[in-house]
Amino acid sequence: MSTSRKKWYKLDNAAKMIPSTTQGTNTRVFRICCELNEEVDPAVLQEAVDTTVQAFPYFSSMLRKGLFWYYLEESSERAVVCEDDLPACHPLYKPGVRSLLYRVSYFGRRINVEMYHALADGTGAFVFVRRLVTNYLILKHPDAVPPDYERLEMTEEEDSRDAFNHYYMHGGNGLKQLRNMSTRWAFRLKGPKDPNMENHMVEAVIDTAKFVDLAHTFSTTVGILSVALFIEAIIDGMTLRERSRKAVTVAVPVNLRQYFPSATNRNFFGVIMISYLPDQYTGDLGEIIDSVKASFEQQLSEDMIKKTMSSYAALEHNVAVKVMPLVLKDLSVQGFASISKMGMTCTVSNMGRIEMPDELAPYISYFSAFTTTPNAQITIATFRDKMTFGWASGITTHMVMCAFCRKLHERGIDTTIATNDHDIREA
Amino acid sequence: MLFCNKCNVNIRGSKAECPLCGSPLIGTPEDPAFPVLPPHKHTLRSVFKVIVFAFLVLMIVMGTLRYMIGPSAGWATAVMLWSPLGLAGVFITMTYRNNILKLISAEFYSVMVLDLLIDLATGWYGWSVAFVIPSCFVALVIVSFFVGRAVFGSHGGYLMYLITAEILSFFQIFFILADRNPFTYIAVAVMALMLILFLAEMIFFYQDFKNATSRTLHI
Repeated sequence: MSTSRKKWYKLDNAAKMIPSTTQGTNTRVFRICCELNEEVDPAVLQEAVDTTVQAFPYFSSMLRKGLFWYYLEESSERAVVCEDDLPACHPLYKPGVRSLLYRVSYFGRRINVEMYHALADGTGAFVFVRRLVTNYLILKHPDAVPPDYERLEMTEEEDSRDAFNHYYMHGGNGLKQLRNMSTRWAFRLKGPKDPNMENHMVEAVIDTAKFVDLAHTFSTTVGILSVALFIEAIIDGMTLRERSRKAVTVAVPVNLRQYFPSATNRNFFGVIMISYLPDQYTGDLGEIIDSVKASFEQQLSEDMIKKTMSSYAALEHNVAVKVMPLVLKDLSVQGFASISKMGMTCTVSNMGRIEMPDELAPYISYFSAFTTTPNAQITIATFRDKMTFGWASGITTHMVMCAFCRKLHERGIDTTIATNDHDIREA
Repeated sequence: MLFCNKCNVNIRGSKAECPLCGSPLIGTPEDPAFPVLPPHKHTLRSVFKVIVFAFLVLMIVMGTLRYMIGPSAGWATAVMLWSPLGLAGVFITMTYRNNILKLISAEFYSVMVLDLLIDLATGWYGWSVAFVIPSCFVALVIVSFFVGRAVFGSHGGYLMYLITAEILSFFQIFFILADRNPFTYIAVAVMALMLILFLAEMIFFYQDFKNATSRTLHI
């Protein structure tokens, strides 16, 4: 197809910053895994991918550089399924390389879908993964699916609308957003970095019912409890001096579709910052939960969400920002990202409950997800009786996950973990 | 399944020690969740470090020789002036190695800029604006056209590179107006040629141009 006739898309507001901040271990790639109860059939998986992408033409894009902004351009390249043979969350976007921004691989009983964050957020990517897994299982087990089962009606229709632009109303203060990015310095996780700049993943699987019961004992939600538990685990590794001097700040992505109805699969999320001062911690998890709950309530009010979203979009619509050449924008965004990194300890993202058709649920064990960031990110996913915490970091040691798993055990919750550590064979 | 007594966690795969605390494990290895991979080496970074070091050593050695030998070692000065061109070429090649048209364009523009600076640093004889820059623009357009045709086939993929070169070539007029070009005919001829090419592209490939600019120049 002639380049000039290819379809192209502007990046959404959140995606505009992503290529500029892609460096080192922060490849801006996230991985969604589906562990089945049987070995993956590669030929069937390839067929499922070919079928699924037809409903998501937007995903068959490559990232290009314009003079002022990055943009996505339609690609005729076909995603080829292969066995997982690359380091997890290996870069998908390499400047100058015209390649797809997602890859599908398999390993044993797992189907892995990795996606560059400029293409979609976790919610949008999960729509794709759900349809892929559905199509795969239907192809693999046609007898197990009811005869009137319609593939296309099982998942939401793909929508490539830029929801930020759709809901933007002039009046937000984009500069306020920049100022907020340079908040006070937070405690930074420490440890030896991977010499090859690869990401280290830890996947912790627990029983959903037990975690929900634990949340009920504290009269809170699963999301708030998760954030509180990780704050507790981080404090466990801080010295007394560090506890008195720095806050533990957790970034929590918020799905804006809950506040602004949209079927878009593209990025449509905001980030709230939950700060806790460890010097006030007396060993009672309830204190952390109360503090986190108050922060959530204050920042998740509809008014605050609207203001935050408008400030994101206001920056993009600022004339001076618009006409700044991309090369300068890249440098500016990298600079601001470095500053904002100092104000954040880690990110905790909750994908929520993943729904799959009842007919196909017996073939699926669980879902898990991992997202690369400059520091560390935990991505939580729940499928039926299994809840997973996916940790991704460029640090080779896992003090936080160690403390987290031990504290879960103390509270009666057993954990099964899997990592890609110590799995490097000598050449 | 392997088990760590200190962390009280079950561990998948075949691990020599607990990934969380480093303690010995008990139990039987089971199916892993991640594959075992060979170490991923970044050879390009090492090559770049060697090149930068070699460049710095060259500059120091040439500077030292120039000081010791005196003004008769003009060759040492020339090496010091021209070697940044080589380093820039290497840096540009490594940066744009995945995009041949961008690489070609960046190499030509860096040659033009560095030659301009060298001309300025050596007392301004005007050879850069009289001969080098006009020749570079012509060569850039020719090479971009043939490489673009070979890589993309259609005009849309390389039209912006040609138009950018044609528009930038008109900046030569500033050196002519400032009387800094001792031999203006070549620069004027090149600008006339670029103008003809630009008009031809606008007239015959306007739709391709419009499509390319709508995506490349969107704000």
